[in-house]
Amino acid sequence: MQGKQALVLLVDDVTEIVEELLTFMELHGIPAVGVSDLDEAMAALEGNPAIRVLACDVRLGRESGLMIVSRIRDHAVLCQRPFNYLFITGDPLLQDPSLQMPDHMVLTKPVQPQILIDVLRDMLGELENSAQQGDV
Amino acid sequence: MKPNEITQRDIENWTRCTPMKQQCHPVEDIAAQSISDGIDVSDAHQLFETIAAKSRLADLGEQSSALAHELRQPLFSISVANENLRMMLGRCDITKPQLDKAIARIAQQVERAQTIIDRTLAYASGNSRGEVSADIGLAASNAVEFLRPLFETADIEIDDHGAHVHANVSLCQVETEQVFVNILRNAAESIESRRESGWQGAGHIAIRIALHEGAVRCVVSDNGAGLSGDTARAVFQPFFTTKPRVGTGLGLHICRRVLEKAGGVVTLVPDETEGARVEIELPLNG
Repeated sequence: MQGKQALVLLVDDVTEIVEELLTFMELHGIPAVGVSDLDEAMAALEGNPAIRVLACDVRLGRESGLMIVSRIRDHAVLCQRPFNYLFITGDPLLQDPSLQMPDHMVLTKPVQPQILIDVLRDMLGELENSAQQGDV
Repeated sequence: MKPNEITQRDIENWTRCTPMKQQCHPVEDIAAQSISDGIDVSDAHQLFETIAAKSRLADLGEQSSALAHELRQPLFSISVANENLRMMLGRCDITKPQLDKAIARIAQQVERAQTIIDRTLAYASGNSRGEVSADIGLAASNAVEFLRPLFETADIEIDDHGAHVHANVSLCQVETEQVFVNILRNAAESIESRRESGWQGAGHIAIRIALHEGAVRCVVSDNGAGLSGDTARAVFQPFFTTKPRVGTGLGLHICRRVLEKAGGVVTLVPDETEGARVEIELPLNG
């Protein structure tokens, strides 16, 4: 899979989870990069123009993973790119209307690996289909 | 009845055994007064142990969602590592070190989950009872770890760099941790209370421990809502609470009783600029 551009960005502040998920993605042939906080996530998005899916933990130390949406929205370049959002949480996730979230999926830890890969494949396929239809 | 429920009977018994006028007296005075009042001292101690145990269970109840969150992290790692291992075993291009790494990861994460469970059960059961020596720096550090999810959720910064001091005092370890859990939780709630009134600053709690002439002095300061001088004096009375819907009113009272057993004193002082600080002074063990 070396040389392929990353399609998925994994964000989790638990290093072990990021490492295992990267191995998992590699075994499934999905190129991905992993980071541990929102600043690194933004840098990874800037440096990897093919990333289309964000799989982001909700509780990132003292940060909320949900803020990735507004960080992208406020970014002059990244706001032009289409992303699919998957949030992975260890807590019940309450809706906060003030956040103005785009369409997104939520999975609760510990996520069953097969469900995770199915969701990611759906999201990658969904964007491919949208792009082919000229929606994005 | 739930095991952590503090009942009306507990309140009546506790109030009978610890009349208000005795709250600021050393424990020996309480014992002497209890005898003169016809109250069995061993009953009073037993009641205190029961109330303290129930208070720890109440702490655990409040921490249960944070505990679930904490356990979900290693469970997720294990789940994915197990799936990776399963997939690797079906392929011929995987090396033994790669398999070993996945197996080691699972073992490591099981251990992490076990540590979380052990720490929680130790706090709940008070299983260090019988020991008469506690490391106060370790107690502060364990209390911070126990409450870490609460601090993260509430976006409160903990500065415990000044707490990395090893000092032994004549208390059992779990009791000493309970003292710090109660004080730190109160500090966090004070910050939340200040935010509820519109303040939008960064929540901050600092712990400082220092040795001085055969004693250890510990200060826990916060930038929360603060309190009046009258409230600062009243908070150590049993069942005094500023949050009647959620608090038992026993947290700081238990702190004072625990510390008095080792000849210690605790005071709550409104800070001159913002928030408040709890000051503890304890004689060193031996």
